[in-house]
Amino acid sequence: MPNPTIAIVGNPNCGKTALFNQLSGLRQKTGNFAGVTVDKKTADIRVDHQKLTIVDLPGTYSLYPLTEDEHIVAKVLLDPANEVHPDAVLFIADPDQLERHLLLYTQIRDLGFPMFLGLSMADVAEKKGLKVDTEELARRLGHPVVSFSIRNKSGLDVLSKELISVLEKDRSHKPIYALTSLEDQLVKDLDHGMTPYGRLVLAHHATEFSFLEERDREEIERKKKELSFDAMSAQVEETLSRFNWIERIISAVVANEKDYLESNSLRADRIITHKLIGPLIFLFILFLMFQAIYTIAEAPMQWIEQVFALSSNFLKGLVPAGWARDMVTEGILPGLAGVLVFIPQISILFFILGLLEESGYLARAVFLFDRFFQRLGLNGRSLIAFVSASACAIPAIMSTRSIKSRKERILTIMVTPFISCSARTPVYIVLVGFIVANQKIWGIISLQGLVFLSFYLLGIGAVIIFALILRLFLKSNEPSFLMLELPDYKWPNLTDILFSTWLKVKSFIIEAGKIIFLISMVLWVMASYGPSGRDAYVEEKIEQFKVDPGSKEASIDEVKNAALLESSYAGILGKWIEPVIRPLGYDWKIGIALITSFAAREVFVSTMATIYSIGSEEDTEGIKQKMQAEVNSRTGEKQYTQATALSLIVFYIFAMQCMSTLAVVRKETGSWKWPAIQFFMMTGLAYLASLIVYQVLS
Amino acid sequence: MSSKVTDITILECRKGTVKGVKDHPLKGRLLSLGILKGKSIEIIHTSLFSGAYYVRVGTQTFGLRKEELEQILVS
Repeated sequence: MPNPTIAIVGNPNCGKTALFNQLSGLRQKTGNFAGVTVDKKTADIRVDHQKLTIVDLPGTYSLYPLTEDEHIVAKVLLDPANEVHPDAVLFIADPDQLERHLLLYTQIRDLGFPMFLGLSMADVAEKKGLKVDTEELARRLGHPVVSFSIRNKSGLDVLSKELISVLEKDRSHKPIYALTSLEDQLVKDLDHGMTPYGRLVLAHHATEFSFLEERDREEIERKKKELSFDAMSAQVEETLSRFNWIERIISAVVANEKDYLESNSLRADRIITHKLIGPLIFLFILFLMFQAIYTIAEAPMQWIEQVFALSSNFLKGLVPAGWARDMVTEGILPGLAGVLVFIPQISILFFILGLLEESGYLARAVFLFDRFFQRLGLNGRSLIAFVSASACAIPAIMSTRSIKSRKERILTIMVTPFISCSARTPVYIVLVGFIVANQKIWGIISLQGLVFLSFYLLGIGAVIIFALILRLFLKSNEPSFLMLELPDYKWPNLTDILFSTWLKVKSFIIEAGKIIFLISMVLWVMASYGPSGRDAYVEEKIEQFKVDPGSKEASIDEVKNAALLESSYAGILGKWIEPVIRPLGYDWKIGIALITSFAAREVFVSTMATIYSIGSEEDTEGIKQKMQAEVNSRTGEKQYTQATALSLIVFYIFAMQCMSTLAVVRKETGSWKWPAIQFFMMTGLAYLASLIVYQVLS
Repeated sequence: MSSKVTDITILECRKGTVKGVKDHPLKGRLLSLGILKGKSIEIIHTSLFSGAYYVRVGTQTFGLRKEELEQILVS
């Protein structure tokens, strides 16, 4: 039998995710790449030997959903067949916003769930001089009310105990909102084993709930017409009647000991959200973020590279040569090193994003740029997607669920992958050395960091241009809104952020690691074996070299290795694509990397690592040195010139090379049309731009 | 609620007490954010490009667009 399920529900910014992290610890099951809380998260926990499943649902304001993530909450609570439909609800409210937060509370209560109330951030409320009489509140609501604080670790034991007892006792409540006679007529024939209010909510959203049967939906719509039911005014009347009930409770249980003073947050916002200073602060924060990523991550990245080089050499010394050893040392290890090496950077990025979100700053940035994005056909909330996309496009695309208008949402999804994600960084890191030297300006600002910033700016430029172009083709009459809550600033809980950073990095390692592991093995096989006639080809090349070594200072071994790779399956594939990419300045080896990185960009580095490791005995030199030494076999010149490196980087900035992103776009837009357009639009631009860069520079 | 000549929106006076919200597709959401009759309301400032408005309602703060503020009646 499955565990009893308890859903944690509340408004956005009520502090429930922090509680969920506290209760679940490392047992969380998040979807792949669950980024900003857009999907439901679950965890199996144990309280007093009893097993429970807790679910963290996205924050929502009411059971009248406007956006995709609010729909998730309504669906989970109203569809008894939903996999995480709860047996009971723990409702979380911020005592400071109790009046508003109780609106959703009364709605959920009228759905008939056994529930209890948790008052979060008890410490903060107390400081503000806010006194909530929890005993009186519990008496009036008819169930326990628990005040808790994650920071002070207070009230958490009581809260855990209540998770069990809420399941044991019969807690049916008298409904707070009584249906009007018109509403009663509308829902009286609708039977889904629900309370009258549950049926009313079903009726309101009948067309949007796919779990209802077609017949039921049609019947409800017919009745709405017959009774000339005005959904909007019914919703307004219900809301006002609920607030009436809430007001009586609030006046009895909440005492505000201090007069209203302009809060610190508001005072800070006079500067932080100032129309001129605000955007400057935002840019400065971005600048700091990238500096942090490229300076702090430098040392750990070198350690990781060294560990892999050492273990590869160690293995070569320990195990005699053979195909199995070679596959590990030349295929899998370099491949894995290629992905693991940029974990420090992703971790820092996710961590800083977490700080910005948790502290309340991200909402301010949305506010600041709403108008700007509106002009591009987007929404202020698109900013959250763009900032997250600097880590990974996948959680970014999922975060667009908070955008109501379909046009704004699709536009955001279409241009988001132009933002340079962390999978591009290893490519940039490897190539940036061919463009500028690693030095510091004024002793602190990393020059390569600045060049990196320009790569990001190129991506942002593409976002703006393509948003403007695409908006011409997308028409919509749907209302667009901002209505953005700007919650008080708070000190982010570091454990919480470290924890969620770890979860994201972990899923990144697993997801990217799987692809890279597989591709590295396939690639190794393709680069190590070739069609028959290969030996003869290699012999011929060696003979040729013996007769005429030319100007090349190469050993027979190197000539042999080059000939072997050239005549392998991978070599043949690279040669096949070479005519197409030669105008961009690439040879067939880069061609192999381009092909493999259409699965995922970071594969570029691991492919390079694998290709240049085949046949090499020592792994002491890094991938960059190998690339530096690389000579184009056709021209006899160095392969990686400034022109080639820049052309390659431009290609990686613009091209759509991520199967996982395309799959998520398909899922979020509901059609293959959008990912297909996205693929050709981005890759076409990449080809053109790289062509221009190379032809102009070389 | 019929719109009378005496009804003024928050945009016109920048500070006041909420009297109600006009009938509008987003009325329900404005109410559920706690923009209710009797609350004190004040426009603090606007963002760049004469964009969103920074608004205080009671002890809470919101970012609202011009079209959204046009629905809020004050006295």
